[in-house]
Amino acid sequence: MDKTKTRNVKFILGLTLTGIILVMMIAGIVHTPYDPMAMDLSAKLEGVSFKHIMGCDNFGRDIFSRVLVGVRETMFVAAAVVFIGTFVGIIIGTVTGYFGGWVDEILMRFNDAVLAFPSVLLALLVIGIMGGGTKALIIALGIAFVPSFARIIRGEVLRIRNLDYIQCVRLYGASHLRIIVVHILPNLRTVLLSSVLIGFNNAVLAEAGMSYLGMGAQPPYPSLGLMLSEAQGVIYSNPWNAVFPGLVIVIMILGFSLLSDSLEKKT
Amino acid sequence: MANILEVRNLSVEFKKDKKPFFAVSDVSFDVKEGEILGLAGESGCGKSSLSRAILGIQKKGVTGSVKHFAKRPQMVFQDPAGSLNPSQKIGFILEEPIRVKGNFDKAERKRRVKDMLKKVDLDEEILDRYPNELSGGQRQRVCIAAALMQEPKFLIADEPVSALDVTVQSQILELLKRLHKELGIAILFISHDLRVVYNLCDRVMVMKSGKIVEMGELQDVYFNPQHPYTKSLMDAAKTKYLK
Repeated sequence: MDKTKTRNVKFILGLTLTGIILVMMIAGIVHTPYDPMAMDLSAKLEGVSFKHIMGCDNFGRDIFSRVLVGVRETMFVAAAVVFIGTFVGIIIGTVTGYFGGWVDEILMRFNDAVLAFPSVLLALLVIGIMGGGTKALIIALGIAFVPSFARIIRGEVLRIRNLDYIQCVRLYGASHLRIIVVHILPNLRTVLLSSVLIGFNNAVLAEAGMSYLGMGAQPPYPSLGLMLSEAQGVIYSNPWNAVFPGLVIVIMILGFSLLSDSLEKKT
Repeated sequence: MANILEVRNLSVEFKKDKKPFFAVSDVSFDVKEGEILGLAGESGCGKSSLSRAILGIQKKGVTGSVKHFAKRPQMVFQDPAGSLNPSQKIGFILEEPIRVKGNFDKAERKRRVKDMLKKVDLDEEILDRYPNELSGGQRQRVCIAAALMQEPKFLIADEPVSALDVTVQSQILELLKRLHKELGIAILFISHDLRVVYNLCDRVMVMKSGKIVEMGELQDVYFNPQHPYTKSLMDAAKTKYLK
């Protein structure tokens, strides 16, 4: 009874926070109060006011507008990264988990190698080859996200494929493809849902981290991580430059982790 | 009567800590058309390994020969929860065996499923439900129905009633008996429960540590056992059920 109550609180809180982020993202697409990239030197480092509710940065750009667009950028990168990770992860995980044998050995050892490699270093490598920018960042982080998804999927496929109903279907004479697509994949959804949400969180953090290091969105285009990095120089005199983008990242992560937490235990 | 299955010198070997371990060792027997053959033995004696080897689910470490003289045999498992796909409706699950083979159109499949539901005493409204919305007995009926959709001549039932409570057990046993009579299928009935085997089977085999220690007509094995292991089993069972 008590547990379901906290779970519900978590769910509602997570939903609210995620909702706030989604509203910000949509607002960023539809309309921003100022052009997020327009510099206005008269408003340089202006404080919080009704005109600029989050203040202005070093170049006089409206931080609120930049945050709105930055949320969109971060969400887009995170979603794309998770999509690549899940998609490739499902393919690798199902093939290795279902067929086993030498395919499993080779792919999983390769998987371990990628997993053991620091993801920032891996991303640096890919970005070094492809040059910077959002596209390179998505591919770099996508590759870094594949192994953990593949491992989770593999474990679950391994469990399901030994269940009696798979043996039954095999006795009907169903093909491997049919067994995988019709009888295994739909049963991965609970595991997938929570790992996608957790993965999304990690992707948001990774995106922020990478653009903080200057490897994601290129200035003057806004991104939450990039804004943090730009705010670093003026953090003592104008702390809100860092506080607001940071706060949005916190809300994003908190919302998704609460959501995934409550969903995970429900199923 | 003609044989429907011939098993000769079948062994199943597992490697346990690099030491070979025979789950089934040198087993030979026949199943005749339309009979119910019981396979009794305590848990861990190799009953399930034997059935998996017969069906070809287990291939690693299997030696000896298994000859089927009829269509692909089907199987009913112990745990009716695990033998139904949790994310598909019963209607889909029951159609799957004939959908996989692909020689019937949709209307014909639906008709066959409905016919089968009548045979196993299930309501049609069950078709739109998911496995977790059914009782254990209903689920086992669905499993039996699914196993019979391809009209096999031979069915392996691995402890089909062990997970059910006693009243449901007897209903499922009655159902198996009736289906056996109506459809003339042969059944290899695997159970650790001698009372259940006694109720259902024509002939019986007793298995111990991977070997078949006794095989014969039901009455002979139950009332005139030769092997000391069978004797002790029967004595134990008699004091419990066969007074």
